Amino acid sequence: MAKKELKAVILAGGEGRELFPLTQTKPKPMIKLLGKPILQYIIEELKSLGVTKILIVIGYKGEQIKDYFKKGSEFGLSISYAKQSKENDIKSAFLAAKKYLANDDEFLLLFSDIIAEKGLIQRTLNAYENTQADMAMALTLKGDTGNFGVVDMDYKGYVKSVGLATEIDTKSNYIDAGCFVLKTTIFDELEVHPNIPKSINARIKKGDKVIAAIWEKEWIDIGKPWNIIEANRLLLSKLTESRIASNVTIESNVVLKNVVIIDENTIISSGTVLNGPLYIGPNTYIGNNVLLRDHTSIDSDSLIGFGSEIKNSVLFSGTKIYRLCYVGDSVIGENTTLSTNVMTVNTETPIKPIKMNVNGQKIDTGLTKLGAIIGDNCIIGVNSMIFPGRKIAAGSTILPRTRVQEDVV
Amino acid sequence: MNNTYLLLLSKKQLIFLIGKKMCGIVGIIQKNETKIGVEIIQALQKLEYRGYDSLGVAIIENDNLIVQKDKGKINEVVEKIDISPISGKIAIGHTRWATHGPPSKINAHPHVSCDGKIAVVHNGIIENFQELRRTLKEKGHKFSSETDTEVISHLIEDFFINEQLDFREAVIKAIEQLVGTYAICVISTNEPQKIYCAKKDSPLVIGLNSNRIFVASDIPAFLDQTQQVVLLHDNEFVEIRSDGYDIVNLKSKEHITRTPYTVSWKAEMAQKAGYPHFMLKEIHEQPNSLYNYIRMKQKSVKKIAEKIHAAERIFFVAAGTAYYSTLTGEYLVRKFNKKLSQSIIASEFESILDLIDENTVVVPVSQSGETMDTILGIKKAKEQGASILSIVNVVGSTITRYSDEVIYLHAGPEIGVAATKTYLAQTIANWDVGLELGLLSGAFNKTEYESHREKFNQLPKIVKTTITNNEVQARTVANWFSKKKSGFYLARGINVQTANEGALKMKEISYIHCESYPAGESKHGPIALVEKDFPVVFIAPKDHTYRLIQSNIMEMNARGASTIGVIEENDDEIKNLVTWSFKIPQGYSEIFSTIPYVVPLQLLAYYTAVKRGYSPDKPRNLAKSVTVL
Repeated sequence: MAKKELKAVILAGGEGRELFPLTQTKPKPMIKLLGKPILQYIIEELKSLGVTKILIVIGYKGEQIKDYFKKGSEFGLSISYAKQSKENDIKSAFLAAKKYLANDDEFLLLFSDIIAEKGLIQRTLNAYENTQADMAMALTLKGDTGNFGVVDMDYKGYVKSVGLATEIDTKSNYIDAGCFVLKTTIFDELEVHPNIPKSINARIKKGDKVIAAIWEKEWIDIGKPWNIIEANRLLLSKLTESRIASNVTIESNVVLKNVVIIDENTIISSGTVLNGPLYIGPNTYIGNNVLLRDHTSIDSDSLIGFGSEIKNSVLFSGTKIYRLCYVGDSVIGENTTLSTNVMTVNTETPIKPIKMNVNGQKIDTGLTKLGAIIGDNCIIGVNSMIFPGRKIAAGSTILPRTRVQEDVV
Repeated sequence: MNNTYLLLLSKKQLIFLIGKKMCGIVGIIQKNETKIGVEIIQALQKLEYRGYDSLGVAIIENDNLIVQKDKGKINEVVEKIDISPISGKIAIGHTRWATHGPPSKINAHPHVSCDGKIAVVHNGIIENFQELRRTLKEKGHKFSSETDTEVISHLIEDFFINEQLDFREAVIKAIEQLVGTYAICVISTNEPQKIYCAKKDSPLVIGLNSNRIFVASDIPAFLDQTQQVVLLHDNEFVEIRSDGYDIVNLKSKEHITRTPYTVSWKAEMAQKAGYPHFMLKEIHEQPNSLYNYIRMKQKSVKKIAEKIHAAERIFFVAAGTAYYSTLTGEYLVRKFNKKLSQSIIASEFESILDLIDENTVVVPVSQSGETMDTILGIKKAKEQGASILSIVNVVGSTITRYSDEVIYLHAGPEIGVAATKTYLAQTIANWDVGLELGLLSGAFNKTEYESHREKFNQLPKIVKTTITNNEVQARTVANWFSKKKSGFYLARGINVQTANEGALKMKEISYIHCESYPAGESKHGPIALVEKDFPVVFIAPKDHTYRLIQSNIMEMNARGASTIGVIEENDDEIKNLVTWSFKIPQGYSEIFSTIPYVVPLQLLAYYTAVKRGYSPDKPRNLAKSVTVL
């Protein structure tokens, strides 16, 4: 990297209320995909670019982040923390960042809830260095610009303004992709303006050139529960080789197809079909005649009983899926148990896009296949059936033979 | 280059010539020593669009000639050979597109003489290299490569050592022996303060700033360092020193003074800025390049329309994408001027030679102005008395020098190999001439003309809206299209060209086999290939073709095809017939449709290529402009 070593600030303090029930027990950046918290993917990419000094702004359940990443030495870098005083007040976070960057002119700013193909940060740095612009921000194309910051560009690819589609006069489909190179002068603006977009606009008005780094590859904002399934799918689809730890037990008559990753001490029993891409974490037991298929991840210390089928789903660590269950297009929280013959229904009949309650509003997910979103530490009784797109709060107990037609909150 | 030389080539040479592409060369000479290795590579990177299968540089460092080269794309080669520590005041470099001999370290330029003191880079083809090589070999010269270029360094050495000529004279004498096309740069430890260059039929330009002088195949090579440019003409020889240059015409032996001009492109325009690929950047630049075209209001447009109006026969001549743009011209001349006109693919120009006389006008259309097939065609047409009325992007390029009138596209440099903004600019130039022609021929009156002009002036805005409204949809459809092996593009009337261009874009960058037909032809054969989920793209503006296109769509639907429509917004009728639709602002169906309707197809091709993991800027086997036969 040219000049002084660039530092990075990662915003990881938000509550992620829209991800209920998965964020009841942990902050959004600590949701694990393929055995690693989302935040770790960003930190590892920073490390690979030679950025070793990171400030993580924590807030909601921030202690979990601190406990996991500590001072960063395990990850080969040096991590500091700043605490947002109020959960959704970004200003106090920037005050802390300003102190951290007292001797710097420029820095990287990253959102902690983005899963993208590798190269997003590099692309932003390249645009910044190639054009010698004052600042740079990554943009990506989005069909439904909804709550995202929309960006209006000139024909040379410089940012004209940023804001919600309702705030700025543009029909642009390019949105802020959560990765910036900013000058520390932005902090002065943040004292006057309520957020980053408005502060960037203020700098542009003062003559700053902000180059847009256009990201044409996959990009997922983990905003809604089903984004976790999509992000898991993206990460699995980018795997190119299988990896099976040396002490894994694979009994006879197990079929492996496509890319499959199996971590230490895991046992795969006879008759099981593993149709990758799949991720199976350490210390997991997969029983007889199980079918795992279509981009499924099962984190550590889990158990899948005889004859169960799991498809395009994310199972966090310590889950127990007993015999003859069907889990499709679903997310199952940590230490949650599905007793015998639990069924997640993943399509409407007749087929139509599935709706989900998010923050009290029924919204169209745009998906025709979506199962259940179940929080941590739940027990689902035998022969229960969970309807498409339903959510079950952490710690719930669902009695045997229940039909879950409404969210359990 | 003349039309008889082809007959002199052996069959083997002819095979070499087919599908041959171009190369990029660069030279830097400066007053102060710098890390010139890095700088020459940076200049070459900007010429990578001209060829990218091998790379080499020659630098004089402390009176030693250092040559580094290897095969591969620039980034790959730079990883293998470390040029960064080399400093000096003089360097030449080359990015190669294989012509004679496959890409390899040995065949990469520069090529040196036996004593290793003379290095040469060359773009073009030396036709008499085999006889020169034979003679030189008999004199004891040792050749290390299979290239035509290597004869040049040995030839210079031979004149310098065996015939005791002064080095400059030796270079001139050597160049005079060459038959063929060339842009050449020579450096030597015999005269370590000079670069010698020569040009014939291959492009070469000089760039000047206060500390250094550049020479290169194209302006983007040095655009970040200077906008002062001197264009060189055929048969010119140049001696470049760090403080100046001297141009001589090798035929007349006259010294030539030519004042530099300032290119209006900014350096940043020659770069990708924050875009992942030049192609996406250039698609997004289209509203601006159309605006630049319209703003210039060139006088030549009217003059060309008048000449076409007065002519007996009108031929458009072009190759590739530019050819499709001329179909607008062909259509408008027929429609407005009520005369038979024809677009001819440049390499097929021979077939109309007998029809060309002084009552004929020939309209060549080319981005670079260096397309060899087109140049050969217009040279002959000019000999036979035709007027040459050209439409080109690059100012001062070869085609413009043979032209009676020129319309410039003002589209700025286009780096993506797949043409986008220059295609739109070529098409708008055809419409521009067409409007004048319509007024001249009385196809419409002054009031109608004025209202058409008003619409014409809105085209940049219409294209911008088209991009905004369709980019997300293009990416969505691309995710599906990327899994297909082939597809059809169908249209009727003037938009057959849009279908052609859409299919060409798709195949050249995504490598999906796509064919285009006038929709009425689909029943005469192609429909046999249609099966379930086969992609068929329809260009369906609300013009006279609308009803017939609808029935073509239903035909394809009936065979299980997945149909994609490029339609006028609010056209619910076709929207409900097709699987996916792209929507074009209203009011551009009857006139100017070939401009907005192609834009979603550019985006579709781009996102399909990206989804398939290919770089749209560097399609395999293709180069930006084809400056050889």
